[in-house]
Amino acid sequence: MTHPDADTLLKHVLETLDEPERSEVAGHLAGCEACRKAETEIRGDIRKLESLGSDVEVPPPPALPRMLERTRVISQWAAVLAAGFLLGYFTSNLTSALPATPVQQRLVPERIVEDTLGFLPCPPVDAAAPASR
Amino acid sequence: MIDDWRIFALARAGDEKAWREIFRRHYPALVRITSSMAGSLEAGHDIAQESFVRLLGARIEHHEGTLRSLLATIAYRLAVKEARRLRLYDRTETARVTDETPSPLEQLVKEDTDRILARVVQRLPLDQREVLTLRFFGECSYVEIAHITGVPLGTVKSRIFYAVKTCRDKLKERGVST
Repeated sequence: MTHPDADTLLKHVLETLDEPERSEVAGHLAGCEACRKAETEIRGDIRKLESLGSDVEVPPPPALPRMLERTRVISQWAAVLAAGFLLGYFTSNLTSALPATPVQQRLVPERIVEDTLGFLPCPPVDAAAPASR
Repeated sequence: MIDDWRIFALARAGDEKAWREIFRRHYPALVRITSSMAGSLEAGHDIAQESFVRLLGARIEHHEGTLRSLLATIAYRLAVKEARRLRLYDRTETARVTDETPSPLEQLVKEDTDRILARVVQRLPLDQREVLTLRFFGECSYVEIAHITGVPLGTVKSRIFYAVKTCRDKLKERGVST
């Protein structure tokens, strides 16, 4: 393989190359001192980016008992709101169709708890932990 | 070093020492993400702190990925919300940074050369900046970043490439390199 260009070398360091290019570049680097030097420079710049501002002074954390109490209160209010919502829903539909199934009754309060908090706490992550660096 | 998830479980059970440890380990990463997005250092600190509070209240159904990437997800979403409120969240524009005003990220760093790099990062287009901060500060994988930002994996890889390329080019222009 000829020397990889600067962009390809950067993509290699960033681990964004697909096979077979990734293996080709890795193989070339093993035997080319000039490219290894260029690779080292790129890694140095990336380390600068990673450490940028990392020595920031850490303030004291919010008091844990108060925070636990706050999350408990939010959950309780969410449960109260959900109960009110369900009560209103069923009383307004007394004369209509069958009541909701038990599964539906379980799901509604959970959705409301998440909405009260403002967003879903965590997206599904179906892949492995962060890529090896 | 004890696993983050185990320490977090202790904190959630009321262990204050564990809570302080989780905070110490991850606060610097979070405040760098939020400050670079939320428009001010004060907002960055506020959102970083709020992210820990949200973590305590979050319903966590799996422990795939790292606690850091979960915190980064929460912080990112809160920062986006704040940026939208302040009308800073415009993907067609680069950050509104003037030469006179040190950006929030610049205010966080101490060395002059780091300040130059912080300014370069702050001037990246928003879509590149958010990928760069989630990757390098939040230690998120590309797959996680794709989930967090809602863009395809290939786009994430493309954005990190152009973000780092721009940073390196600007550093060279200013005579700062490794």
